[in-house]
Amino acid sequence: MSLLTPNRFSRIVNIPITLAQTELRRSKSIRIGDWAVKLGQKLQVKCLTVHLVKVLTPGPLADYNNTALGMASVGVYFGPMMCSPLVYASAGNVGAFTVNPFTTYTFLSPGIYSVVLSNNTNNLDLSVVVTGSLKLYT
Amino acid sequence: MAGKLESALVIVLRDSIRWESSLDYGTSTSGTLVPVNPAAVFDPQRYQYRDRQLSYRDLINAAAIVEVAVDVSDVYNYPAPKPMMEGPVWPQMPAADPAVFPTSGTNFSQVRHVGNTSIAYDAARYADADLYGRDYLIFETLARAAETAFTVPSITRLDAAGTVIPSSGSTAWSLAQGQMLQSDINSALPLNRDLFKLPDRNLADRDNQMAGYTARLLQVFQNPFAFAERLFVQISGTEGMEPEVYALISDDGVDRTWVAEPALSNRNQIKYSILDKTLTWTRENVDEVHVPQLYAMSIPGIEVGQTVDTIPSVPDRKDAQFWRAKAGQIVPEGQMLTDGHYLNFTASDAASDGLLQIPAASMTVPDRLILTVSSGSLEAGPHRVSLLVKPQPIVEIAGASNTTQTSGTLGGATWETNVASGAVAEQAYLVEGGDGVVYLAGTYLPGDVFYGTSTSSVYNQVGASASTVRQYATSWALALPPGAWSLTLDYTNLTGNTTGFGVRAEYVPSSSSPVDVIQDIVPLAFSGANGDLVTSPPGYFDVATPDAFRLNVLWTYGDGDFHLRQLTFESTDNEVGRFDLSGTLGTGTARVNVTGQRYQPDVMKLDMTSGSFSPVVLTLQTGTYAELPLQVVQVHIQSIGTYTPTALSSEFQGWRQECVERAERAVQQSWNEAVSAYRKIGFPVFYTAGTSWNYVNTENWMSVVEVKHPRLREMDYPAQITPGRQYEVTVAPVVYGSDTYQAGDKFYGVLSTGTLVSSGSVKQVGAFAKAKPGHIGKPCLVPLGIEFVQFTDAVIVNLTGTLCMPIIAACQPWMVEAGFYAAQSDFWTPDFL
Repeated sequence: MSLLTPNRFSRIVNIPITLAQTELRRSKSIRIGDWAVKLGQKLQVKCLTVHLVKVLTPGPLADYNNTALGMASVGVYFGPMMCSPLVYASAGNVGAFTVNPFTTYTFLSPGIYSVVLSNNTNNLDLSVVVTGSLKLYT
Repeated sequence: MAGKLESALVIVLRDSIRWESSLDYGTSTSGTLVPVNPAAVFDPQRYQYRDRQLSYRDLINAAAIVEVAVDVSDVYNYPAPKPMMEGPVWPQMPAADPAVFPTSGTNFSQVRHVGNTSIAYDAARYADADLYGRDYLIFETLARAAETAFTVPSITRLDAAGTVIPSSGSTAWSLAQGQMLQSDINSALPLNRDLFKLPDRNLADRDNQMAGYTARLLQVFQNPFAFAERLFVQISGTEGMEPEVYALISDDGVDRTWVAEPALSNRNQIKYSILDKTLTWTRENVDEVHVPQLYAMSIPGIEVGQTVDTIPSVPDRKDAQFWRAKAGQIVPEGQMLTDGHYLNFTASDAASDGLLQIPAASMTVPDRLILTVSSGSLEAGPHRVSLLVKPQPIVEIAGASNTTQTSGTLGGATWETNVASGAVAEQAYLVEGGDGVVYLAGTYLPGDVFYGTSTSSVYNQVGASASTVRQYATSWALALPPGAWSLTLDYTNLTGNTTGFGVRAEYVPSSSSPVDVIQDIVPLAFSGANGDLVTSPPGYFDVATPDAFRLNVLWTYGDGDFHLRQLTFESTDNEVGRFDLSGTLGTGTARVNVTGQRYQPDVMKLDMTSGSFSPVVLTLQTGTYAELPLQVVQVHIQSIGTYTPTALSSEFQGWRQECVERAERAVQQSWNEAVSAYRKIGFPVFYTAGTSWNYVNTENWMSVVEVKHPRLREMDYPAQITPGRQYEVTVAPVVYGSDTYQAGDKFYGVLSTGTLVSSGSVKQVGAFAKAKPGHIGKPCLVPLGIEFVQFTDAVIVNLTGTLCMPIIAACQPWMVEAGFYAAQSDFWTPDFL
């Protein structure tokens, strides 16, 4: 096993993901951050949590744009396509939901990776918090 | 065995053996000592050299002890005591020199020191010979024990036949007045007894230390269960289980207990009773009790013919399939996805409605697409439908996918020539040469076009000079998003000679006049061999509405046999499109409303709950947006359930990830072996045409990866039985060689047994299987340097040959399209908690 030298350690970047409590309007998404992964680099998702604090629109049942992603979801996307996150946490109701912290999601293919928070309903406004951490090995 | 050296256990060990004045002087290779001639003039230096050489032999023994102790540590994870050394020494004692070591009947551990009445030569004749013999005895004892205890002995015996040191005899170790004195023979010292005796006592002390270390190692060999912190155990016989590592989890002074990984309390366990010296195997999931057995490396198991064998070797490297099995032993908590029906190619009869393109069924505008995923049935419950989709501004239509029933070779459309009277169908025909023809009371001269109807298939010649009739037009119906489009035709000549074809293409909207897309003023050139495909220059046209239109291709003039293989429409208007897609599976519906980037494959997930039904038909409907055509490349249905977690496994939630990482390391090690075997020169290059990569490259790469890793990938229908690989019976019975296997049985391919099974069918066993759309985010095996170039629909690899090391990465949609392999479900964990 190789030793973790200061030189190596200095090239491991911990990227915090934080979005303070935010009103997320229906059908909208917020791009929290983009990171370019170059050849030879490695991006790992260590933890990612979406906390659906409150449904701001009283009354109606959710009308989903994306049934599979619940009311709100935060995920890592590759490139501009917004179909399915490569890894995601989905809130189907009020509460905190996190990407499985016992699994390491590793991305090595060069490209731009984004963390995007989405309101997957078209009739509810939501109050949402996102926290998380990525690790970029440069 | 003689000289087990138990009595040496009383010796207090020092943590190191000093180099002192040790001198190799041929000791390590020839095994001899500097000779002393009693008839010659007394030379104290010769006696000094001999003692120094004897001292060096102690260092050889020390090195051998270190070698064996390291192996003991590796095999049993027990920190066996070993002396620290002050320099490198080769750990192999040379064969005994008979001139120094007259053996026969002596007590090997005694030393006949010189006394006050001795002559100098006695020190060489008796004391040195005895010290020499002690070294030999220690080494041989250790080597014999290592040979007996280890599959691969650490050191080599000197006396293989047992003629020098008999296999039975005294086990008492003489201390031989050993004392640490660090004394040396020197001509400046008085010539008396102590000149010789004190250095010899020092040598005896060094021997005593080595004997003490050896005795402790022998204790481990005699009963490793009293010391081992790890056992490598094979349950053989009826079980046929793979060897497993058992780790020590408790030692309370009464019992020592090891448990197999993952170390859950209900896993396979081995218990050693320190008092009774018995071993008991507790087998998981079985109530039968194992009768305690007196300890031994191999003991009877629970069932008749079963044995519990402790393997005295370092646990071998396990393959990915082993870690797959290990991963499956812990079921995590959370949502579970189970693979179900899968449609890997949609450009087939499985698709109806929509637009059938060459690569896949598609919806070019808001449309409906019906896909028969399977002829089987779908169980009631929640399901996830994962669609591998690709927004494509390129629409490729096979020539044969026309509305005028014109077919041809390789999926193309071949214009019918020399249509005989009686063969006229509902087509447009061109009259060529002669005096013309009469069809349904109409007269058509050469160059005229008539339209066949279902009323009559017969035409008549007008005059004596016969005309020929050939097909004139073929039509396609489709719809495209509004905007500017180009059209190219891939065509060829099938028979006869021609220099080109006069071809006109017409865009015919439903409520407007035809618009020429390709004009026939200049013929489409053809100069190659018949059958060679030629791509026409592009023609351009504007699509005003997303409504269906007709595209006519008219062969207006020219010789030969016109064949149109493919029509390609392309737009550069929209890079991004929005898709509002709903899916219906039985009684379940779901919706996806997303944006898509052209060329970039992605996966749309539809979660829905449905009742049971058969066959499995998925209906997709897009609405509102008509910006980019959408190809539906693959369909994958998974059932959504909940894991039933393994009892008492709450501390093992990361186990499956651990197994993934171990599997990755195992694959990488075998890759390095393959690289080493192939050598760098001549190592396969996987990419095509520069750095391009597709599913064929993936197969080539995987075939190299599995050279040294036979249980790498699962394949449903292997072409043959390959030696070393494992197979599982899917349709019984399977006869391989002289053995018959039933469903679920597994067997290995054997070179001498052949490459074929004579009935039934099998699948190749492996830890990875073709990635499917539902596997996004799961561990996927890809080569280092692989890259999807966004915006160009290209997968490339940036490294070559030996550098394409397999690595585990989260599965992405383009990896599915490129045919990479994902870890089997035993490795999976819930996506989120």
